[in-house]
Amino acid sequence: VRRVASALLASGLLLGGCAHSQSGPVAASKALAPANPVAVAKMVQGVVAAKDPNGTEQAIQLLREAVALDGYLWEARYDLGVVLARAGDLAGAESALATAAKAEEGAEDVALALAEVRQRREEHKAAAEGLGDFVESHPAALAARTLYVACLRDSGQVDKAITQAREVLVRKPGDASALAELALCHLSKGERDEASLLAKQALDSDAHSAVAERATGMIALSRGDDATAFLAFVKATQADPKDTTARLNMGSVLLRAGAYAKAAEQFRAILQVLPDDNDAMLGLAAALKGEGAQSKEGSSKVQEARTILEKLLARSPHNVGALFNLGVLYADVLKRPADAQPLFQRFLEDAPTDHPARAEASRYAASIAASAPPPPPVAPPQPAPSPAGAAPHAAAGGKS
Amino acid sequence: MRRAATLRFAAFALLGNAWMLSSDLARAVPATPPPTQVEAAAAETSQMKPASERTMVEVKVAKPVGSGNATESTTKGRPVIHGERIPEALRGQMKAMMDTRIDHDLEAIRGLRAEAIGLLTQFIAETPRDAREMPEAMMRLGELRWEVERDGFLARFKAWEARPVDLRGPAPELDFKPSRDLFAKVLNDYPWFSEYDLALYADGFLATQQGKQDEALARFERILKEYPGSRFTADAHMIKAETLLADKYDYPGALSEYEAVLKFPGTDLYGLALFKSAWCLWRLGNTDEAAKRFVSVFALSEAGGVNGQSKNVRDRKQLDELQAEALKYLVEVLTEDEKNTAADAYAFLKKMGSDRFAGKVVKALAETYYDQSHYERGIEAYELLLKLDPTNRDAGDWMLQIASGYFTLEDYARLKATYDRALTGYTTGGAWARTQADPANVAATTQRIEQQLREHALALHGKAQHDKTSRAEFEATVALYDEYLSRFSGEPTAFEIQYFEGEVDFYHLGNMTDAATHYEAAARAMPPEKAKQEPWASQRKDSLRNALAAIGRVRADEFAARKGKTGATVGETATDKKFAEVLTLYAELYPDAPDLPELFFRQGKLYYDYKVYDSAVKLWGSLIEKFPSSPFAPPAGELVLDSFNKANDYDNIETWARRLKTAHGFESAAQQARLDALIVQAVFKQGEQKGTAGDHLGAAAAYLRAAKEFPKDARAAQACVNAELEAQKAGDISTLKEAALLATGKEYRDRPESPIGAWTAATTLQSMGMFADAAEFDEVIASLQGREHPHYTKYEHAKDAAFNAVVLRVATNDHDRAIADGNRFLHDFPTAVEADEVVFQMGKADQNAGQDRDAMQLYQRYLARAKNLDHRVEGYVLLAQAQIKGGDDKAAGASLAAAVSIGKHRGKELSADGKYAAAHARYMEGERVLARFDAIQISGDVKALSTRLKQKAALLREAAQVFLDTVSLGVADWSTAALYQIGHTYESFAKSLRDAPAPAGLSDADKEAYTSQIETFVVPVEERSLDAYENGWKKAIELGIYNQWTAKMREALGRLNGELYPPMHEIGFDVRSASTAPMPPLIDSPKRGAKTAPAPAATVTPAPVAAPAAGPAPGPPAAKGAHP
Repeated sequence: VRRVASALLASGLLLGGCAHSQSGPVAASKALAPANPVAVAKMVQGVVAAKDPNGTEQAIQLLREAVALDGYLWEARYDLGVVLARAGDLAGAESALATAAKAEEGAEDVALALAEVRQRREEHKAAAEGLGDFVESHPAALAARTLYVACLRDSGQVDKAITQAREVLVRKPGDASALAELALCHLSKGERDEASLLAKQALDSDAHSAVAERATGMIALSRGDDATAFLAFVKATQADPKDTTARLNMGSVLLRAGAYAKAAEQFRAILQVLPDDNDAMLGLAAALKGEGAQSKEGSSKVQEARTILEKLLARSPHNVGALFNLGVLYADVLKRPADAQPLFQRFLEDAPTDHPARAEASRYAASIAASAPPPPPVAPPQPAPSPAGAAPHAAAGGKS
Repeated sequence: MRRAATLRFAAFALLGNAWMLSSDLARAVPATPPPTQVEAAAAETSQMKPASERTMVEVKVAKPVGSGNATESTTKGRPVIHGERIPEALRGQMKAMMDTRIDHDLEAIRGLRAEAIGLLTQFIAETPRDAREMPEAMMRLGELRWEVERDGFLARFKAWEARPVDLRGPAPELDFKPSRDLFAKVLNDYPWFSEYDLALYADGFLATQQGKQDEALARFERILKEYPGSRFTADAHMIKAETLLADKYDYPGALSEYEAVLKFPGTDLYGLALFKSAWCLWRLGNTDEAAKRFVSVFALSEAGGVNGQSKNVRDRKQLDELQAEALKYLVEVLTEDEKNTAADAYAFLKKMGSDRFAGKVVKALAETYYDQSHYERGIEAYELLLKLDPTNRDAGDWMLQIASGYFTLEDYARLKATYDRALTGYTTGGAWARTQADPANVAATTQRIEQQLREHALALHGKAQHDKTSRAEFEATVALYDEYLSRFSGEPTAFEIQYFEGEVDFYHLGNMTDAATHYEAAARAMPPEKAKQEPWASQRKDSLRNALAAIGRVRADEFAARKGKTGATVGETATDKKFAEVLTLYAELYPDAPDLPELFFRQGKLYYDYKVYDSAVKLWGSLIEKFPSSPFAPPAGELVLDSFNKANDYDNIETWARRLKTAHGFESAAQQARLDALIVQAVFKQGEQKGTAGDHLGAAAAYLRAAKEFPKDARAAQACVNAELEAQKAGDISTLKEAALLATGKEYRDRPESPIGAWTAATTLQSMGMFADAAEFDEVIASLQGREHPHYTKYEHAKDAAFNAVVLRVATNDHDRAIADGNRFLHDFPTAVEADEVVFQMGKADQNAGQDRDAMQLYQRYLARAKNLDHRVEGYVLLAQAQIKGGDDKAAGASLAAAVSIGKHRGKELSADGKYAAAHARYMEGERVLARFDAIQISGDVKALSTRLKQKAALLREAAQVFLDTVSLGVADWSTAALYQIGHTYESFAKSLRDAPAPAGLSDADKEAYTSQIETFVVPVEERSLDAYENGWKKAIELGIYNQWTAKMREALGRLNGELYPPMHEIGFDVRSASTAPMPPLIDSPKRGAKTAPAPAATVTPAPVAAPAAGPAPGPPAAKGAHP
């Protein structure tokens, strides 16, 4: 049976129906000119290369060529940003993704990737600002809004983060991720009870939510309940094997407890999933160093630790954690202070002024400098040899 | 008719309960009137009687001909004027002046001529005959007399012509004799005359004029023979040729003479000779050569004569005339062979290298073909012309000529196509029009096309009517009308064309839909001032009635076709829409037409019966609005509602039910009550429908509106709940809260749906993390327990809500309400399993609020009655903590002892929680011993130092013992904590010993001895500390306990024995809350055009809302059991 409303509305004779439309505005993507086919071909080749474990360099090269051929091919810029981020070039990734985001303001993946890179660079405020603009124009983008909550929280804008988390929950009541984020917001405000209840609710809503388990672990840690925390992190890892944060936290706890072998297991597990995870590499190196330093047969582990850190630094020369830890390895274990010194210097150049390890690095640097052998004495200047025949010659023409 | 309508209405009104339906709206919506009446009414009104066909006057359109100007000079003998024209006024003045001057000059010439004649006559008379000047004088006199004679002849002729015909008598004639006599004397008497050839020429010329061709021929023969170098040779040949041609039709002879003339290209006769030679050649059958010469004449005249030497008007005129002649004959040559086409002619001209004349020639050809009624070839010529000169200012006229040709040939398909081309290209805005510099010409051409097309269409219509049986003619007529309307529908008289096309469609072609369209358009387009006069007034009404009749026939066919498809959904067809349109127009233009209400009603009813509800409602809506007092309005209103009901259009059911409440025929209380019921049900249905369609916001609003507006309705409370659920789906917190407040308000508290509404709101808000708001509704449920609110008391989630209220208030740090909620829970559910948890929550609330005494009292009251052993141990620990905070150290010790006692003696009965609490209690006891240990200062009186040290050592042992005892309770957390504390205690003791200042007044030697003694005491303590850490750490690692205590022990080992346990200085792996999420996937290919905005998030699946009686309860609250 047909609806009659349209007929009534169409008739000028009638008083009018009361049917109304519910359709809302639809976000339209910016109209772009057709892409340069050569650039597209490069892009596709780049993506294929990026899927090959050994194809990262080639992928980057191809994607750069694609972008050079067609500056408006935002998809290639996005891919380039993602590949660069995976390769650890976060600055390059941010640049590429920021350009892609400008070209295609409606792509949630671009916004997410850009924010993620900024988060990794600890540019939490910038990440939050970028996502804030995005969710304002795309209110239904819940993944972006959830990440926005995390960015706000990390940048210290906790109240704003709470508001945004609630926005997610209003649109998606019971969303475990949003509840967990909300829990962490309250935790960072010291409202542990509310945080606990929210984390519990998140787990009630989704018993397999890694983020909810992680939040539960963080809350347990905050009240000193390490066992509960550790258990929660284990559950988080079980719930999502790719949730590296829980494993990182477990590895950290094990490292601190001196269970280096077990810590190394966790970090290795992360690296199996994400081979280029910087934090896991740092952790594994520390665990190996701990193991190696404790045993007489541990030199191979120490060497492995060194290799890992050097690899990391080769890829990310400004990774302050790697600089500091390699410096410590050289100074404390390998007893090569001369090699450690430039690393601490670089750390002091790169690390933020409020980095908690600055004082320790300075101490190391000063100590190494103090214990270094004095420089070889500088040879006193020798008189320049006189040109032949130019010297006064007493016998020949001399005044006598 | 009127009486019948009234009776039918009465029948509708009496139908009453017989209209009951089986749907939800059965009680409210009427059924259809008896079908027999409906069918009868429908049958009558759908057969509108059309007006008679208008008879067209049969117009005979004249057959087209060429322009008739083909042989005329294009300049009409006038010089071509370039530049600015002389103004007309000045021109008039000049002409008058010139005429006066000419008259004066002529008069003067005549005077001079008479004087010259007199003098010459006198000279001849008085001069000897053999005088040398005599022949010349005679020649001059002969010429002058010829001029006088010619002037006299003209005067005589004018006078003769002025006389009445019957009085004119013989026409005057020229008198050649005086001149010829003089010339004859010269020829006879003066053979030695130096200009004898002149005399021969002059006399031969006059003989020619006199018609004495032989004499003339003899004179010219002599010139040619005796004076071959004479200046009159060419003239002689010309005269000879003309004479041969005109008198003897001697074409070869004439041709020969013309050829001779052509040997004198400098003469004025050249062009004519060329033309005449061509003529001769043509006559002699040499058409190719003839055509060439005609073309040469063209070239000659275009060039202004041989070598362009034609200088004066006369020459120009001659050349123009010659060209016209040449063209005429050239065309004649070209058309002589019927196989020749315009294309052939063009090919010929091109071959001659004269295609530059093609336009003129082809145009002349086309006109000639038309003059000869050779329309196919004429059309072809015009088409060629259009191709050769597409931007010519006359191109539009050529198109019209082509159309006329096709019209004459009755080739209607091509006629239509030609007009199509004309309208597209040659009217204002068309391709041709855009090339024209003269807009007036374009406008005029457009107007001529409009006129001719109209004329042709009307003529064809008349012809078709006259012929009666030719469907092709009617179809062609319609095609021409369509062409006309496609371009000229805005013309003031276009409505007539619309009407006529409607007539053809209706009466002859059976195109009823088209007929209706054109009739309607005719009625709409007729200018109002015209519509007031006859015959237009009648024509407009006829148009509409015929349109209705036409649609009636179409619809009848459609309905017949649907008959075999019962049950199928029928949509509003284009016919239905058209019918409503026309009827509406009819009603607008003739609002007082007495048949209108009934017409509306019965047409609507017909649609209704065929389930075309849109159209039915449209018609009845018009009826109700325009004729509210009509007896047809009430049944129309009933059927409108029923139509909407059948269409499930509840928005409009509500709208119309509200509207009908003030309508005529619905005033009775029963009708009003029925409409009210209909409205509320419609609103409910709207909510249901919108919810199903995904419009949750609209659904929530509809339900809320229903609840607010009809609070007494049995379904109102359920509407609140439904509004909440829909608002939940829509993420509309404001409506959710509003609906929940309404559901839990006084109005609905005695309704079974009320607690469901509260619980729905509480759980929804809780799932959104809005704990304080959720607690409000939990508290509502908890507070409405009791006899007054049986539905709340019996509500399955009453206890959950009460419990959740406590938990949520504690979580949100709302102490007072947490305590109040807790007390209420304990009062209402004293034996509930959750009671212990409530107590703990209340204690926490007290402690969070700094009200430790209240907490102590609470725990003491609780322990007095708690039976659960785990909870008792936990209670003691909590009590001890409160007591410690409250400064009641002794009581705290007792509480801890009680907890430890249970743990030790009834440990097997305890669960993990109980054991955890017992170990915690024992650990706290250890801490308390340590506190006593710390209270003893090493520094002080030296004499008592030994005692103090012994005391401290004893307490240290005691603490270590207690901590070791803690380990024995087997709780990992507290075991590692205890192990750490043992090491930490020894380390602290050693440090405090070492750091203690030496007693005052000691000599340096004594101080050294003192320090040495202390050191011997300290080292074993430190060793014990290291042992404790080492053992503790190893034990923790062995047990797999990795917590802060394990970490602290490892850190201490690094501090105390860095060689064996290298310290950890590395950075970069702090425990973190945020995840480093993997990067999103790569994009494989460009996403241009793909939607990038994310899809709306899925919402939690709500309970169905359709059943008004009892909506299923939402899921259990997260807070139940969500306590940390």
